[in-house]
Order: sequence, then C-alpha cells, then structure tokens
Amino acid sequence: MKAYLVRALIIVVVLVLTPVNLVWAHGEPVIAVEPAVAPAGGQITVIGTEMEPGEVFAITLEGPAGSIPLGEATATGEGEEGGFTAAFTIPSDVAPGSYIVRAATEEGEVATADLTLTEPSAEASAAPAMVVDEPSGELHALDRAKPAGQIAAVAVMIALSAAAGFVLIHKPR
Amino acid sequence: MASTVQPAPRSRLGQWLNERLGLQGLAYAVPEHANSLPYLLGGITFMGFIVLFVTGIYLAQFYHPHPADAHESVVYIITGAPLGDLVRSIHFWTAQIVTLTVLLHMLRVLFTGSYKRPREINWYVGLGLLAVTLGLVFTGSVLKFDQESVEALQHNKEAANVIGALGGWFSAEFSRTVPLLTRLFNGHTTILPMLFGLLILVHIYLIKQHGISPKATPDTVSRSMAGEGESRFSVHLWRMLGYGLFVLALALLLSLLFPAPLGQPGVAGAEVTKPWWMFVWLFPAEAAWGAQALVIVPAILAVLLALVPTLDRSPYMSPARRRVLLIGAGLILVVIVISGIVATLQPVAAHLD
Repeated sequence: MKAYLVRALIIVVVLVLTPVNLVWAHGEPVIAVEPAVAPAGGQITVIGTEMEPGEVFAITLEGPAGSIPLGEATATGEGEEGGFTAAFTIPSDVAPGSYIVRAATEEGEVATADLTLTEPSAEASAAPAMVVDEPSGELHALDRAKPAGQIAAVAVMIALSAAAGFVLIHKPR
Repeated sequence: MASTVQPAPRSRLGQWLNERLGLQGLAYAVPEHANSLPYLLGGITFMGFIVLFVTGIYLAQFYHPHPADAHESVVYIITGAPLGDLVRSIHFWTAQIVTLTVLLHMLRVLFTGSYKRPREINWYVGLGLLAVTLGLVFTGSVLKFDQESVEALQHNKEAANVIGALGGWFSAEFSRTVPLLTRLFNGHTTILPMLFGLLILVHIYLIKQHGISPKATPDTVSRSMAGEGESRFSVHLWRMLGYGLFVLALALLLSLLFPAPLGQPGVAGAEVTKPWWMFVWLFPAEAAWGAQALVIVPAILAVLLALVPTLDRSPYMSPARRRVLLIGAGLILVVIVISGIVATLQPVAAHLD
C-alpha cells in the first residue's frame, strides 16, 4: 500500500514539476487573439508575449479539417522580453466553427489561443481591417426594469419564505 | 419498526412512504446542540445547492455555451427569457451565500475540532466539497463570457501552464473540436455536480456513521456519537429547511434589489476588471510572485488544511486546548481577509504576462 502511494506521489510530482521547470527556465510564449470571434474573411490580431527577441513564429489556423498557414511573425524587444503584434486575414472559404490559432517556432516552442469563426459577412469582405473592441470593465447597459406584478409576486415569495422559515426553525420539538 | 432516533411517522402518507421506501433508515441520532445555527451551516449549504440545481437547470435551457453566442445568450436570459433575469439573479446570489456558508461551515468544524478521530476522512471529504464548490463558482463566473470572465479565463490558463500536464485540460489545444468555454460549461453542469453528488453522499453517510460531533466543552474528547442524541432527526431536518427558506428569501431580496451583474463582451488580452470576492484575495500574491502564485498559494492552503487532523492529534475538542492551531489558522485567515481588502481597494493592475 505504502509503495503504491509513493509511486503515485512520484508520478504526480514529476507531472507537476517537469513542465514547471521548463516554464521557469525558458519562459513560455503566450498569444492572445483579438477578436476571439471573427467572420471568415475578416482580420484578426495576434499578440505574442514572453518571447525571445528575434524568434520567428509560424502562425497557423487549426481546425477539425486540418491546418491553414496564416503567415509569420517575428518577436521584437529588448533584453529577454520580446513579443509581437501582427494582423492576419482569415481566408474567406474557411468553414465557421471553433479553431485554434497556433504560433510555433522551429525549435518547438508553441503557444495557442481559441478562435471562433462565423459566417463571412459582407462587412468583412468590404472592410478587411476589423476594429478591435475596446475592453471595458463597465456593466452592460440593459433594461432590467421588471413589471410591477413580478415585483409584487417576488415580495410575496420573500415574505412567505421568511415566514415559513421562521415557523420551521421555532417549531416545537 | 420504530427507530430510536426517529419515531415512526404519524400521518398515513408518512407511514405509507416509510413502509415502501424505508425512509426512517436514513435518520440518524441528533444531539440538541446540532440544532443550533453553527452546526446547521452544512445543511443550510445543502439547501442552497438545491436552489442552485433548480435555477441552474432552468438557465441551461437558454444559455448557449459557445464563445460566439455565450454573452448574447446571457443578454437574452436577462431581457427575453421568461423570469430569466430573476432566476439568474437568484442563482448568482445563492452561489454567493453558499460560498460563504460553506466557508463558515469549515471554520466551525475547525474551531470545534470536529475533524478529530474518527471523523478525519469526513474532513477530507469536506475539503473536496469545498474545492468542488469553488470550482463551480469559478466555472459559473466564466460562463457569462463578459470582460471579467475572459480575464478570469486568461488567469486560469496561465495558472494551468504552471502546473504543466495536470493543467492541460484548460488549454485550447486539449480539444480541437470543442472550445474551452463549452468544456467549462460541461464541467459546471455535469462533471462538478456529479462529483458534488458523490462527495455529499459520502459526507452524509459518514455523519450517520459517526454521529454529529460532541459539543466542544473544556473536557470533551472526540468520539463516535453514533446512536446518541436527545433530539429527533425530523427536528434537525425542519430547522435545516427553515434556514434554507431564509437563504431563499435573502437570495430573492438581493435579486430584486441588485440583479446579477453582466459586463461588456470580453476582449482578450486586457485587464480592466477584478475577480469576485472569493478569488480577489489572490491578487496581491499574483502581483508579487506572478501566475505561479495562483497555484502555489491555494496549494499551500490546501496542504495545510489537509494536515490539520495530523497536526492536531490530541483528543480534546475545546478551542481552549487547541490554541496553537487555532491562532495559526486565525492569522492565516486575517492575512487572507486583509489581502482581499487591499486587492479590492487598489486600482486594477495588469498581472498577465
């Protein structure tokens, strides 16, 4: 029993620490794709960080049907901190669905990000340079006014729940 | 046959059901102190989970778990689905309350020494339930796919990178056919609820097996209380249900006054929001040590909690006889609370690499 536990512990430690060492030793490249949802034929921006300046990444779009090369991007920067921001146009004949954007070097460094493709839009073909939405921490403005009947019904439910709860808690033993 | 812990039902329906389903066999002995609020926190949490399951099933009829449609479907739930905004808000507020009660339940068990022999295994099952609860909160917070969700997901991916192969499930590469958001929805609605169901069954079985822990008076020693208890099981259940109804009333009131928030559609690569209160305390650690803090700090806490029954082996349950452990736990709690307050007050800062 003890031997099994020790073996299991060793496997878990190896699984955890091996990639951690890799991460700490070399830094793992990271990419983000904007927007995360784009129409086929539209343009995406791939932002790469945690890269060594000068590294060349081949950018591909991967889906169930296979891999589509989008182009290359070279990391720039000073010292050990490097990255890139590059725009790529998605071919308009790619089927809508879930894809992965992969950035890979010849040395085997890989970073990926999700991308969802929708049907090509007339807008996308007319204006290839898509505007990336500005991120916002504000709440979505929605009309959340409730009908008076609903408010009254909820108020009754609150009163009934609280009253029933009170009765049950103070029920004679 | 009448049970010693629960007399036979008096009503005809009760007798009919008991004869066919043997419900009386599920009853266990209940000491009087177990009917007080601190000892009912676990039961209150369970009642909250029932509300979450019911409202969650309703929301799943309208939610679309795909990055292209998720946020829009939440907007539809709020503005178009019948009672959608109300049900979503009840789900949101009940989740907040349940997270609080599950943490308070754990602190009560820690304070009263209810994890001691023979209840160590149930302490570990409880830690599993805590992890599942936090997992449900996290996956649930990501599903709305607004700016806060997208940022949470990015932090999660970075944390997953730190744990290497074990974090592989959180990478986009894990499945080429199903996006991560859809898999998180599966986790939220199938994997985690199944784990919860399994763990809660074991949790309740072990409570029945060992009885509810004795009251932590100065000389009480931990022991099995199976079959001991002056109160009735039905009284315990009614109180649990009573407090559960209070939770429902509170969730309804909060839903009416403060509907569940929804941010703008998420944009990847930005950091302009903060996570919910149950995760925000990790922010200062992340600012200081990077993404690995998101894994290492919770892992250290989990190990410390797992070690509690090993570190505190004395049979005494009274807090006064366990000062060292409780002071240590109290200090950690204070650090977490201060860290949470600092993170809440400080401006949003970028942590992602």
